[in-house]
Amino acid sequence: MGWMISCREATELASKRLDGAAGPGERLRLALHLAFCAACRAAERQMRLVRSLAHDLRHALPERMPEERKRAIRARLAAHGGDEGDREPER
Amino acid sequence: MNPERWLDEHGDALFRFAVLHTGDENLAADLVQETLLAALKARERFAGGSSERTWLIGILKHKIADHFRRGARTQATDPDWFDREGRWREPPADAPGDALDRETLRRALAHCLDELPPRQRQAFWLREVAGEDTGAACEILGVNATNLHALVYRARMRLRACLERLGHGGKRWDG
Repeated sequence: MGWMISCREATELASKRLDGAAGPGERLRLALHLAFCAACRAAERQMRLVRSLAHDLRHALPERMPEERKRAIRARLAAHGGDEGDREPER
Repeated sequence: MNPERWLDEHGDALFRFAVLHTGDENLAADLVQETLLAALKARERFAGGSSERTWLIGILKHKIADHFRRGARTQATDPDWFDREGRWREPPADAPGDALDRETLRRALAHCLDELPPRQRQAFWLREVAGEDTGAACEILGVNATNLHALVYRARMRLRACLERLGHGGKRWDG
Protein backbone atom coordinates (compact mmCIF):
# COMPACT_ATOMS: atom_id res chain seq x y z
CA MET A 1 0.00 0.00 0.00
CA GLY A 2 1.50 3.33 -1.07
CA TRP A 3 1.03 6.67 0.64
CA MET A 4 -1.95 7.62 -1.46
CA ILE A 5 -4.78 5.23 -0.75
CA SER A 6 -8.18 4.87 -2.37
CA CYS A 7 -11.49 5.61 -0.66
CA ARG A 8 -12.09 1.87 -0.43
CA GLU A 9 -8.82 1.40 1.43
CA ALA A 10 -9.48 4.47 3.56
CA THR A 11 -12.82 3.10 4.80
CA GLU A 12 -11.16 -0.26 5.52
CA LEU A 13 -8.49 1.49 7.55
CA ALA A 14 -11.07 3.65 9.34
CA SER A 15 -12.85 0.49 10.42
CA LYS A 16 -9.58 -1.15 11.39
CA ARG A 17 -8.69 1.89 13.48
CA LEU A 18 -12.04 1.66 15.27
CA ASP A 19 -11.11 -1.94 16.09
CA GLY A 20 -7.83 -0.74 17.54
CA ALA A 21 -5.97 -2.85 14.96
CA ALA A 22 -4.42 -0.19 12.69
CA GLY A 23 -0.65 0.27 12.90
CA PRO A 24 1.13 3.67 12.97
CA GLY A 25 1.77 3.69 9.20
CA GLU A 26 -1.85 2.83 8.48
CA ARG A 27 -3.12 5.56 10.81
CA LEU A 28 -0.88 8.08 9.08
CA ARG A 29 -2.04 7.08 5.59
CA LEU A 30 -5.65 7.26 6.79
CA ALA A 31 -5.15 10.72 8.31
CA LEU A 32 -3.56 11.95 5.08
CA HIS A 33 -6.45 10.62 2.99
CA LEU A 34 -9.08 12.06 5.34
CA ALA A 35 -7.41 15.47 5.20
CA PHE A 36 -8.21 15.64 1.49
CA CYS A 37 -11.42 13.60 1.20
CA ALA A 38 -14.72 14.95 2.54
CA ALA A 39 -16.66 11.82 1.52
CA CYS A 40 -14.43 9.55 3.60
CA ARG A 41 -14.51 12.00 6.51
CA ALA A 42 -18.32 11.76 6.38
CA ALA A 43 -18.17 7.96 6.20
CA GLU A 44 -15.80 7.87 9.14
CA ARG A 45 -18.12 10.09 11.21
CA GLN A 46 -21.04 7.86 10.30
CA MET A 47 -19.10 4.81 11.47
CA ARG A 48 -18.42 6.54 14.77
CA LEU A 49 -22.09 7.39 15.12
CA VAL A 50 -22.95 3.74 14.43
CA ARG A 51 -20.53 2.71 17.16
CA SER A 52 -21.86 5.12 19.75
CA LEU A 53 -25.48 4.11 18.98
CA ALA A 54 -24.46 0.47 19.36
CA HIS A 55 -23.18 1.29 22.83
CA ASP A 56 -26.57 2.85 23.62
CA LEU A 57 -28.30 -0.35 22.53
CA ARG A 58 -26.41 -2.28 25.13
CA HIS A 59 -28.07 -0.27 27.89
CA ALA A 60 -31.51 -0.72 26.39
CA LEU A 61 -31.46 -4.54 26.56
CA PRO A 62 -34.08 -6.27 28.74
CA GLU A 63 -33.01 -7.22 32.25
CA ARG A 64 -35.44 -10.04 32.90
CA MET A 65 -36.77 -13.00 31.02
CA PRO A 66 -40.50 -12.67 30.21
CA GLU A 67 -42.62 -14.54 32.79
CA GLU A 68 -44.45 -16.67 30.23
CA ARG A 69 -41.11 -17.99 28.94
CA LYS A 70 -40.08 -18.77 32.51
CA ARG A 71 -43.30 -20.67 33.10
CA ALA A 72 -42.75 -22.74 29.96
CA ILE A 73 -39.17 -23.54 30.93
CA ARG A 74 -40.21 -24.43 34.48
CA ALA A 75 -42.74 -26.90 33.08
CA ARG A 76 -40.12 -28.46 30.79
CA LEU A 77 -37.62 -28.77 33.63
CA ALA A 78 -40.19 -30.35 35.92
CA ALA A 79 -41.16 -32.89 33.25
CA HIS A 80 -37.56 -33.88 32.52
CA GLY A 81 -36.45 -33.75 36.14
CA GLY A 82 -39.36 -35.99 37.18
CA ASP A 83 -38.57 -38.62 34.52
CA GLU A 84 -34.96 -38.90 35.45
CA GLY A 85 -35.65 -38.63 39.14
CA ASP A 86 -37.67 -41.85 39.00
CA ARG A 87 -34.87 -43.84 37.45
CA GLU A 88 -31.95 -42.14 39.04
CA PRO A 89 -32.61 -40.54 42.42
CA GLU A 90 -30.58 -37.49 43.44
CA ARG A 91 -27.58 -38.27 45.52
CA MET B 1 -27.37 -28.69 43.40
CA ASN B 2 -31.01 -27.82 43.17
CA PRO B 3 -32.42 -27.80 39.60
CA GLU B 4 -35.86 -26.60 40.75
CA ARG B 5 -34.28 -23.33 41.83
CA TRP B 6 -32.04 -22.76 38.79
CA LEU B 7 -34.60 -20.65 37.00
CA ASP B 8 -35.29 -18.46 40.05
CA GLU B 9 -31.66 -18.04 40.99
CA HIS B 10 -29.97 -17.85 37.59
CA GLY B 11 -32.73 -17.45 34.98
CA ASP B 12 -32.47 -13.69 34.54
CA ALA B 13 -28.66 -13.70 34.64
CA LEU B 14 -28.52 -16.39 31.94
CA PHE B 15 -31.13 -14.52 29.93
CA ARG B 16 -29.18 -11.24 30.17
CA PHE B 17 -26.00 -13.00 29.07
CA ALA B 18 -27.81 -14.60 26.10
CA VAL B 19 -29.53 -11.35 25.06
CA LEU B 20 -26.28 -9.42 25.34
CA HIS B 21 -24.55 -11.87 23.02
CA THR B 22 -27.34 -12.47 20.50
CA GLY B 23 -29.51 -9.34 20.61
CA ASP B 24 -32.60 -11.53 20.21
CA GLU B 25 -34.95 -12.00 23.18
CA ASN B 26 -36.78 -15.01 21.78
CA LEU B 27 -33.61 -16.78 20.80
CA ALA B 28 -32.12 -15.89 24.19
CA ALA B 29 -35.00 -17.53 26.05
CA ASP B 30 -34.70 -20.60 23.78
CA LEU B 31 -30.98 -20.84 24.55
CA VAL B 32 -31.61 -20.56 28.30
CA GLN B 33 -34.11 -23.39 28.04
CA GLU B 34 -31.65 -25.55 26.09
CA THR B 35 -28.97 -24.73 28.64
CA LEU B 36 -31.05 -25.73 31.66
CA LEU B 37 -32.24 -28.95 30.01
CA ALA B 38 -28.64 -29.83 29.09
CA ALA B 39 -27.54 -28.97 32.63
CA LEU B 40 -30.24 -31.22 34.05
CA LYS B 41 -28.94 -34.14 32.00
CA ALA B 42 -25.34 -33.41 32.92
CA ARG B 43 -25.85 -32.52 36.57
CA GLU B 44 -23.96 -35.61 37.76
CA ARG B 45 -20.89 -34.17 36.04
CA PHE B 46 -20.99 -30.81 37.82
CA ALA B 47 -17.61 -30.81 39.55
CA GLY B 48 -18.49 -28.26 42.21
CA GLY B 49 -15.16 -26.53 41.69
CA SER B 50 -16.90 -23.48 40.28
CA SER B 51 -20.16 -21.87 41.28
CA GLU B 52 -23.40 -23.20 39.87
CA ARG B 53 -23.82 -19.90 38.01
CA THR B 54 -20.40 -20.17 36.35
CA TRP B 55 -21.12 -23.75 35.34
CA LEU B 56 -24.47 -22.81 33.77
CA ILE B 57 -22.96 -19.80 31.96
CA GLY B 58 -20.30 -22.17 30.58
CA ILE B 59 -23.00 -24.40 29.09
CA LEU B 60 -24.85 -21.36 27.73
CA LYS B 61 -21.67 -20.16 26.00
CA HIS B 62 -21.51 -23.46 24.13
CA LYS B 63 -25.17 -23.16 23.13
CA ILE B 64 -24.56 -19.63 21.80
CA ALA B 65 -21.47 -20.72 19.84
CA ASP B 66 -23.39 -23.72 18.42
CA HIS B 67 -26.14 -21.42 17.30
CA PHE B 68 -23.70 -19.04 15.59
CA ARG B 69 -21.89 -21.85 13.83
CA ARG B 70 -25.09 -23.28 12.39
CA GLY B 71 -25.49 -20.16 10.26
CA ALA B 72 -21.80 -19.88 9.39
CA ARG B 73 -22.09 -21.08 5.79
CA THR B 74 -24.41 -18.41 4.50
CA GLN B 75 -22.51 -15.98 2.26
CA ALA B 76 -23.80 -12.48 1.71
CA THR B 77 -23.12 -10.33 -1.35
CA ASP B 78 -22.51 -6.73 -0.36
CA PRO B 79 -23.37 -3.70 -2.47
CA ASP B 80 -20.48 -2.35 -4.53
CA TRP B 81 -19.72 0.79 -2.59
CA PHE B 82 -16.73 1.66 -4.78
CA ASP B 83 -15.79 1.57 -8.45
CA ARG B 84 -12.79 -0.35 -9.79
CA GLU B 85 -10.41 2.44 -8.83
CA GLY B 86 -11.73 2.36 -5.28
CA ARG B 87 -13.72 5.61 -5.58
CA TRP B 88 -17.14 6.09 -4.01
CA ARG B 89 -20.09 5.30 -6.26
CA GLU B 90 -22.36 7.30 -3.95
CA PRO B 91 -20.31 9.52 -1.64
CA PRO B 92 -21.72 9.64 1.90
CA ALA B 93 -23.65 12.74 2.91
CA ASP B 94 -21.76 15.28 4.90
CA ALA B 95 -23.17 15.23 8.43
CA PRO B 96 -24.14 12.34 10.70
CA GLY B 97 -27.40 13.85 11.86
CA ASP B 98 -26.64 15.43 15.21
CA ALA B 99 -30.00 17.22 15.06
CA LEU B 100 -31.97 14.04 15.64
CA ASP B 101 -32.58 12.81 19.12
CA ARG B 102 -30.69 9.78 20.36
CA GLU B 103 -33.77 7.65 20.80
CA THR B 104 -34.80 8.05 17.15
CA LEU B 105 -31.27 7.27 16.00
CA ARG B 106 -31.04 4.27 18.31
CA ARG B 107 -34.29 2.83 16.94
CA ALA B 108 -33.04 3.45 13.42
CA LEU B 109 -29.85 1.54 14.15
CA ALA B 110 -31.82 -1.35 15.68
CA HIS B 111 -33.86 -1.51 12.49
CA CYS B 112 -30.72 -1.43 10.32
CA LEU B 113 -29.13 -4.20 12.40
CA ASP B 114 -32.11 -6.45 11.66
CA GLU B 115 -31.44 -6.03 7.94
CA LEU B 116 -27.80 -7.18 8.12
CA PRO B 117 -26.77 -10.60 6.84
CA PRO B 118 -26.58 -12.91 9.91
CA ARG B 119 -22.80 -13.29 10.09
CA GLN B 120 -22.17 -9.56 9.79
CA ARG B 121 -24.82 -8.86 12.42
CA GLN B 122 -23.31 -11.41 14.82
CA ALA B 123 -19.77 -10.08 14.38
CA PHE B 124 -20.83 -6.46 14.79
CA TRP B 125 -23.08 -7.24 17.72
CA LEU B 126 -20.43 -9.18 19.64
CA ARG B 127 -17.82 -6.45 19.20
CA GLU B 128 -19.86 -3.26 19.44
CA VAL B 129 -22.88 -4.08 21.56
CA ALA B 130 -21.69 -6.96 23.73
CA GLY B 131 -18.26 -5.31 23.92
CA GLU B 132 -16.33 -8.56 23.48
CA ASP B 133 -12.69 -8.18 22.48
CA THR B 134 -11.41 -9.56 19.18
CA GLY B 135 -10.18 -12.82 20.71
CA ALA B 136 -13.46 -13.64 22.43
CA ALA B 137 -15.56 -12.68 19.40
CA CYS B 138 -13.37 -14.86 17.14
CA GLU B 139 -13.79 -17.79 19.47
CA ILE B 140 -17.57 -17.50 19.63
CA LEU B 141 -17.92 -17.11 15.86
CA GLY B 142 -15.22 -19.63 14.95
CA VAL B 143 -13.30 -17.22 12.67
CA ASN B 144 -9.84 -15.65 12.69
CA ALA B 145 -9.14 -11.98 13.42
CA THR B 146 -8.85 -11.03 9.72
CA ASN B 147 -12.25 -12.55 8.98
CA LEU B 148 -13.75 -10.86 12.03
CA HIS B 149 -12.44 -7.41 11.04
CA ALA B 150 -13.75 -7.94 7.50
CA LEU B 151 -17.21 -8.92 8.79
CA VAL B 152 -17.34 -5.93 11.12
CA TYR B 153 -16.17 -3.62 8.30
CA ARG B 154 -18.89 -4.89 5.98
CA ALA B 155 -21.46 -4.47 8.76
CA ARG B 156 -20.33 -0.89 9.43
CA MET B 157 -20.53 0.02 5.74
CA ARG B 158 -24.07 -1.34 5.50
CA LEU B 159 -25.15 0.26 8.77
CA ARG B 160 -23.85 3.71 7.89
CA ALA B 161 -25.53 3.51 4.47
CA CYS B 162 -28.74 2.28 6.09
CA LEU B 163 -28.80 5.15 8.60
CA GLU B 164 -28.20 7.56 5.77
CA ARG B 165 -30.95 5.98 3.67
CA LEU B 166 -33.39 6.29 6.57
CA GLY B 167 -32.60 9.97 6.51
CA HIS B 168 -30.61 9.94 9.71
CA GLY B 169 -27.20 10.46 8.24
CA GLY B 170 -27.94 13.10 5.65
CA LYS B 171 -27.38 16.83 5.44
CA ARG B 172 -31.06 17.59 5.18
CA TRP B 173 -31.59 16.61 8.80
CA ASP B 174 -29.34 19.22 10.29
CA GLY B 175 -29.88 21.91 7.72
